[in-house]
Formats: sequence, structure tokens, C-alpha cells
Amino acid sequence: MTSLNIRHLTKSFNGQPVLQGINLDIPAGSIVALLGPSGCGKTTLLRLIGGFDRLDAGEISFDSRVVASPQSHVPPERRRIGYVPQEGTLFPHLSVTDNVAYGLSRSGRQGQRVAEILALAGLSALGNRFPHELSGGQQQRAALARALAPEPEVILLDEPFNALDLGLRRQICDDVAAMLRREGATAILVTHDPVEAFAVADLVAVMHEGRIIQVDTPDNIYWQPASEHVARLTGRPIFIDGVFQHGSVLTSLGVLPVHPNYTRAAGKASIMLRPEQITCGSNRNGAQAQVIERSFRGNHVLLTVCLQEQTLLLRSSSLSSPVPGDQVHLHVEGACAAFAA
Amino acid sequence: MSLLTLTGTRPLNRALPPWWLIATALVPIALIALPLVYVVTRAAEAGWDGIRDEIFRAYTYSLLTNTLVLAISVTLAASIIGVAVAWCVERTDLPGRQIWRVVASLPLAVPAFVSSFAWSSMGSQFQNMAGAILVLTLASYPLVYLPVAAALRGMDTGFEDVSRSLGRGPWHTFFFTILPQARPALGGGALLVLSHMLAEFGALSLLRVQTFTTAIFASYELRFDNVSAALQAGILLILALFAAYTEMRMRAGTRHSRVGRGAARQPSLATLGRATPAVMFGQIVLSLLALGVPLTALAYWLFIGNSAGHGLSEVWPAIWGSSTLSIAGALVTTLLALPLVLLATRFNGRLARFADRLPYIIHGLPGLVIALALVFFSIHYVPAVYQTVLLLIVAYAVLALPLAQTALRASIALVPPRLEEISRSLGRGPFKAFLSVTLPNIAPGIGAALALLALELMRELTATLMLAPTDVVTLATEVWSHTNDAEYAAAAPFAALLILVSAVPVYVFTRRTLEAYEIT
Repeated sequence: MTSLNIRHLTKSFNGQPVLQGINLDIPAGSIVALLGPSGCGKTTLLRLIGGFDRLDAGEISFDSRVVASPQSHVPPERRRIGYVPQEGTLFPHLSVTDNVAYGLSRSGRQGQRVAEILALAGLSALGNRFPHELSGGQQQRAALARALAPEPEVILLDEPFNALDLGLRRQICDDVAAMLRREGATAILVTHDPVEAFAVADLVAVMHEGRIIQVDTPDNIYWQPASEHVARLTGRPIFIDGVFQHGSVLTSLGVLPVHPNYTRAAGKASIMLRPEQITCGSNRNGAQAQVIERSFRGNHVLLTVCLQEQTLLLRSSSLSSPVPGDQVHLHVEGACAAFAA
Repeated sequence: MSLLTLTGTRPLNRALPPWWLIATALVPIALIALPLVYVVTRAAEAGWDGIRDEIFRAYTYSLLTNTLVLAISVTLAASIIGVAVAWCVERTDLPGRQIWRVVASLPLAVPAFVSSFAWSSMGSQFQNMAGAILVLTLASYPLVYLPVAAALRGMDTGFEDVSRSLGRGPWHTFFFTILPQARPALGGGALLVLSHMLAEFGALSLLRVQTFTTAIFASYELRFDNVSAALQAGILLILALFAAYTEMRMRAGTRHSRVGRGAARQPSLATLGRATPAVMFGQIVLSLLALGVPLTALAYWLFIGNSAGHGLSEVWPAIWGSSTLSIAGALVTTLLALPLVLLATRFNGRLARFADRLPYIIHGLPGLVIALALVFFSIHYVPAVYQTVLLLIVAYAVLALPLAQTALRASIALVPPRLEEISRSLGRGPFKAFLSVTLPNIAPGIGAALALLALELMRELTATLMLAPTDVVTLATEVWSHTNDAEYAAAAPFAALLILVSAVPVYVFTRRTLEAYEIT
């Protein structure tokens, strides 16, 4: 298992900076998600790690071996990486078995590795098929099997679930995570979908405009984002105004606890909650709000409520929920995040 | 943020192309520069006075008039016929539309000089400017019909419905809603006709019309290093490059958009009603003229010739010449085109962009001018290759390069650069990656390109006439020389074989045009 260290990495295309001073340490055997909107540089970073492009400045090392710096560039074929791009891109002229065996040495092809990895991918019965005879999900699993077969030091996954439809996507996402864990590979997953990142990764690195703005566990990224930007990229946030008071904040929803990271002495702040922290009840202790709109979504309803002239969008159970015009009382569970107003 | 990241396109390989790729790509580029160098150096030798004397001669003026009258008349007539046929076939309830759709594109299978053979064999009344305009219009209207038909077929009829709902009649709707959408297809087709007309030699020579090409050929036959020929070639080159440049600009600007998703509805067909017999009559007359006349004349002369006892023994040398020359030409062309295509599809930068645009420049080089330049340079600098097959193969390679680029591009586009990257990530170096992944996947495409090129090169007349060693004959040169000597029956078997050979390239061209212009 290999750890990966990236130091002060920069890269620009045609004078346009794409990556600006990236620092990232990936512990051996962990799965890291690079999460960010399109154009934030996450794929460029992945391609630099793979050696498909050259960096301008900085350094990438696998364990203590420098694989890329302005002076030296180890070509992709000598980095011991596995690469799974957006649309699996299996070699169309080779069968599934031959695709998986492609990266193995001649003696490796004779051994059990191909059968073993095909079994892990759940493709044992499909070894003789050609890529066009596979479904999208099978193609993606085969592409991952091909990348894993030579037991690479680092696996690079570039939005590998993008081409799949939503239901299949979640399923394959779980399969892939399981395969990576079984193999104990160090993996980097590029994605713009926070749910995918949370489901697969041990660590999430959030990228924005060529920089990594936060690296943390999925839990911490979601509940304690480093900025309003991260909050928006990782799920739906609710922002309300507040004022610090003795380590808590005073808001229109009452006095709320703040995660310790954010405590400041005093002053105005922008408070972030997740919709699922706020419940509507008839218990009269909570702040009073009026329901403006109710939108049925099957397994939940979206409620638009008016709280002291601010509208909030809340999620509520679809079993019993108020109708427009009702007065409700809002309760907050858990602590909130706070940013300078 | 760069445009690349905005559109979500993954960056192409930004590394510099390897030196060997650049070196091999420079070979065809140098060959293409030869005609330009030829015209410029010859003009420089003639000096300003020489150029002025040549350009302001009454003879040059008459050549220019003839060339332009012919090219513009044929382009206009072919455009009108092409659009009309396309609309009738695609958008009206004309009976037998499925059959007309195919029949309308068939004249492409008859090379222009072969139909000229047929028309001139019926008498000298067609051997003049009006005859040439008629024959060439009939031969080239499919070049407009095909792209326009494809555009009409794929067009979202929503625009028409909206136009009609806003109170515009069918004619207004056609000219202001349908035609503007088909404009890239119409413009591309019309400019292709224009380029062909500027470069046409065989048909015009058989129909006895004096334009730049026939005049250049005549001066060349008098003396190979004729300065007049070079200067006339220069003027022709300017006209042809202008047409090619316009075509390139037009294609680059092609953009269709359909807002919203979902399949376009099947267009509702216009009812011809009482006009049906007239339209039907028009279609029949057009097909009779474009197909019936050449094929009937051909059949007649075949019959006469057969009874006169012309046998296989005379056809065989031409078949042998045509096949060997065209297969060798196809091989060389493919080898030259491959680095250009790799450069254009796998790399960015000035050279790659230039490689991508090369086909348009070559479209602007009449075969006659290429051949003239090759004759001149070979005699002056490498006399050993003059009157050898090698020189002709070089000319073929330049002429067929655009077709080879298109054919190869399509198959290389099927191999995404990502495949090569995966191969690299699995431990193969760049060359092994090319051998184990790229080559197996483009091999069928290369095979198809070779076949297509060979069949297309069999139709080549001009360069073959000028460059083939004196003892080598091909199907095309046999048709030309027998027709020139009014030996129509002797020409017939060669002409018939040429039409058979044309079927495959024409089929491929038809498919490709339909796909390229179908608006989706």
C-alpha cells in the first residue's frame, strides 16, 4: 500500500491557471474523493497524478518516490497506477478476460489473478463477452477489474459513474467501494456528486477554482464545512443570520449550539443548518413560522415556511405534514456551523 | 476559466507531437506546396511585364469569361435543381419517393467525362458552352441534392409550424425558415460544384469548350515549360483557392441548434395535389437526361463495338493499368495521410490545426496544376523520375489526400485518446500502446479507406493523362483518347467498367453526406 503526497502543485493551460498550489496527503490504503464543480481542476489534478500531463511546479510522490516534479517526469506506464475514466473505455477489440489480462505480465496471465479479479467484479460468467455485449454497469465493473488486476499502487477514478443512470449509479458505486476495500488499494475518485463522494470515500477533498479548500472526513465536511462554498457543494444548506453569545448563537430559531471549531468571542455571523436538522412540530416551545407552500415528493415533502420574514425550505415526513396557511413550530437538532457575516 | 474547462471537454494532449510525427507530416505538406511554388517561381521568371502581357491578353480574357460563365452557370443550375429535387423527394407526397430518393443520387456514379463521351457521341450539337453547361449540371446536381436532402430530413419541423402559426404562407416559410436552416448544406454543396467546375478538364475537353484547364493542357502539349501555361495555372489557382477558402469558412461556421430535447417529429408532407403530374414529369425528364441518355448511349456503343469484335484483349491492359496504379496510389496516400490525421486528432497547436485544414487547400488545387508542377520540377531537378509511375503516384497521393484524411479520421475518432492512456497506465510505452490498442482498432478502417481510395483513383483522368508513362493506359485515359478520336464504340467498354467501379465510392460518399448534414 502506498501513500501519496502532493506539494505546492501548480498547472496552467495557455496561461490560464488551472491548479494553484495544491497540497494533499493521502494515507496508504485510503479512498479520497476530489469533490468540486466542473472546471475546478479536479480532473487535471487526477491526470497529473497519473502522469498523462506534466506539472508546472511542485512535486508528486508515491511513498517517498518522486514521480513528478518540474525536473523529472515518470511516464504513466512506470507509475504503477490504475486508471478508470468516465466511460470505462474498455478496449473494444479485446474480450473482457483479455481486457483484464492486458496489464498483467505474461506469467501473471497464466495464474489465478484474472479469474480472481473477475470473480470479485462479479463478471466470472462474462469473460468471453466483448465490451459492446455488456451493460453500462458491467462495463464499468470490468474497467475497474482491469485497473485493479496488476495490483497498482494507486487507483485513479475519473467520474466513473457519470455515464450510468441514477439507480444503477448508486448500486455500482457501492460495488466499486467494496472492490476497492477488498483490494486495499489507495484510490482517488473524482466526482461532482457529494452523495457519491460520501458513500465511497474515507476523506473528501473539496476543490474550487484550482485550490483545495477543505480536506476532511465525509461527516465533518457535511456538518462542519470550512466555508459557505463548501456548505453549498456538499448538500443543501439553510443560512440564517445570528449573533454570537457565550459560545452559542442567537437566531430567529432561538439560541443554537455551535460546533467548537467555529466559536468566536462575539459578533454577527451567518449560521448554516442542514434542512434535516429542523423539524416542524406543534410543541409551542419552538420558533413560530407559517407554512407557505407544500410540495409533495414521494418519500418526503418540501415545505416552504416563513420565519420572521425569511423563507426557509424544509424537508418533512410525507406521512403527516402541515398544509399552506398552518402555523408550525420549528425545533433544531444538533449544532450548527457559523461563518463571518 | 479557459473555454476548454467551461465546455467540459477534457484537455487534449498538450504535449508537443513527437519529432517523427512532425517529420512524416511535413512530407505531404511539402508536396502540396509544390504547385504553389511552381506558379510563383514561374511567374517571377516571367517578370512584371511578362505577367502583364499574359493577363491583359484578349485570349486570357476569353478564357476567364468562359471559365466563370461555365462554373457559375453550372453551380447556379445545379443548386436550383438540387434544392428542388431534395424538397420534392423529402417534403412532398410525390409518389415513389423512396425510389426517387435513390435515383436522384445515381448520376454521381457516371464520371463527368464519361457522360460527356455519351453526349458528344450523339452529335456535335452538344460540343459547345450550352452543351457543357447542360451535361455538367446533370452530372453535378447530386452534390447539392444530397446534403440539402439530408438537412431537410433531419430538420425540426417545429420551426415551420411556428412560422405557419404566425401567419406566413408556405412559400414565405420555405424561403425564410426552411432554406436558411439548409443554408450550410446548400452552400457546402454549391461550393463543391464550383471547385469541381474550376478543376474540370476531361468533360470540357471532350465537349470542346475552352477554359483555363483545357488551355493549360493545350499549351502544355505544345511545350512542357510554357510560361503561359504557368500563368494561366496561377489565375486558375487563385479562383480555385478562393472557392476552397469560402467552403472552409462556411463549414467552420456550421452550427445547428434545436432547443429542448426529445425526438424531432416526422415532418408532415406537403400535398402536391394537381401539381403531382407536373412534378412527376419533371423528375422523369431529369432522370432520363442525367441517367437515361448516358446509359442508353453507352449501351448502344457497347452493342456496336461488340459486333465490331472488340474483345477482352484490348480492355485488359487498361484494367491492369488502372488497378495497379490506383492500388499503389491508395497505399501511398494512406501512409501519407496517417501522420496528418494523428497530428490533427491527437494534438493541439498550429501544425495540428494546419493538418486539419489541409484538405480544403487541396480541394483548391486542380489536378492539372498539380500535374504541371510535378512535370516541371521532375524534369528540372530529378529527370530520372519523369515519365515513371512514381511521379503519377505522387500526384495521386496529393489529389486523394483529403478523401484519405476523412476516411481515416472517422476510424481514428473511434479510438478515444483515453484508450491509449489506459494502456499507458497498465504499463505499456507509447509505441507499444499504439501497436496493441490503436492499430488493432483502426485496422478495419484503414482497409476500408484503401479500397475506397483505390476505386476513387480509378476515376482520375487529368493527372493520369499528363503523368502516366507513355506505355501505361488506364480505363479513364482510354475513354478520353478514344472519344477524342471519335471512336465511340472503342471507348464504350472502358466507360462501362468505370461506371461499375464508381458504384462503391459513390455509395460511400452518399452515406457520408447524408450523415454529415442531417441536422440533429
